[in-house]
Amino acid sequence: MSAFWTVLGKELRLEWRTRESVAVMVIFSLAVILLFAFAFNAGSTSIKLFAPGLLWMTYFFSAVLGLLRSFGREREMDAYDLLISSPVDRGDIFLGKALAFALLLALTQVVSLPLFSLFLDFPLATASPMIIPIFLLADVAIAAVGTVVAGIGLRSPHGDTLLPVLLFPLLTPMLIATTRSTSAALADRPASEYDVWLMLLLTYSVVFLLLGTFIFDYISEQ
Amino acid sequence: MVKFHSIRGNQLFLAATVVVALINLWLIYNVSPMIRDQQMAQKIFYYHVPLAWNAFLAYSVTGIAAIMYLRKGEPRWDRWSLAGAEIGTTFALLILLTGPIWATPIWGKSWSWEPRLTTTLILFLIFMGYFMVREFGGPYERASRYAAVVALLGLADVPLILSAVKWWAPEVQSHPQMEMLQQSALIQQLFLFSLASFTLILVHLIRYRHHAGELEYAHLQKQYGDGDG
Repeated sequence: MSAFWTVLGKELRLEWRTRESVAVMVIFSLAVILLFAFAFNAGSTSIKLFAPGLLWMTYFFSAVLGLLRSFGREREMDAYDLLISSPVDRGDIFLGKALAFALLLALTQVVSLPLFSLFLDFPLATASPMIIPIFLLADVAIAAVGTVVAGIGLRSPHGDTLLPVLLFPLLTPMLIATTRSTSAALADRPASEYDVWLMLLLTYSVVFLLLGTFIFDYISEQ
Repeated sequence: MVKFHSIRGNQLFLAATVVVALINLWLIYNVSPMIRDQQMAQKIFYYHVPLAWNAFLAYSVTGIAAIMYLRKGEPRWDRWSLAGAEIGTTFALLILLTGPIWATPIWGKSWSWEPRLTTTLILFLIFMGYFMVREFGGPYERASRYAAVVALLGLADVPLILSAVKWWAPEVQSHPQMEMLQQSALIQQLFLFSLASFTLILVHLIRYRHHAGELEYAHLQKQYGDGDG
């Protein structure tokens, strides 16, 4: 497990020194939300209805950028080859990278969510505190699937185009569960009304974290 | 290696499959009774359901072969996995085509976000990604490994997709799932015959595709020598 902490620490330290991924994700998601606001006429009441969906679509897109950035770094000076040739369990490498990316996503959301609530006019202050586990679980889910898929893309000649094409269909059930529970939590509904979505989100995250841990060995080989 | 259809056993199997398929066609149009309210439209079920069954079987082959390939690393499993994926996706496409043909007169619209239809569409998209990984994944052996991983991710996703879309739109639940079992014995027998006929087609197609994969691999090995090709 020490390899896990090493990789996690390395990812976070890198991000702290460059601040690339989070900056790109925040700026990009702001730009997308602005486009959505203009495309759907932000003044109308109907945008409130779509807000959770728009929100997560935006985070999906910015996650793709963040993943590309995070794995793009590994290409430089063959960093990735050194990483996977170290004598540690590749499952630990996967978990370290995935959870580090989930944290970066969460950080992006901490910065951008208050702005979105301002622009799209949805209440953040009155939302149920359940919103925090929902977002964290969703970030873990995106990061788990994203890390496997980005790992595939890393060594492929057209990897950067493969990433969204592979990622989005795999994430559909998770998108449904997340938008449903987000909109319920924003309206401060009791958790019992959307516990089925929370369970799905939890199952999804656990399944793909486990699958990624076992499978990462096969995609990191030369 | 020899051509698939120059092997005697395969010729006989193909002949049997064609004969059974023709009988099946004849039975569907001439023997199967009309169902009230649906008339001719109902007959598509003798195709649609076996197509879904075939896609399910073919993807199971892909899943099992993908696991075996990752565990053992033997190339022959990769060819089974590819054969299952290609044939399964073909059948998934046919499901997506025959579903709306039936839905247009019965539901009054061609597409609804019915859970199984939606799941099939998403699975179809995931396997489009699978073929892209095969194409763009780099050297043959690595692309095969990546493809096996994508297949496993996709198939692990299926139950989650299915439950998600089921709960997502509970009002869209008009998929006629149990109707087949409530029909007369004759319809059930004809349906089972059709199922058997389509399964024969599936077996032949997967074995054919697998054989073609072996030929491709042999060709690659001849061209690039031993190893990854």
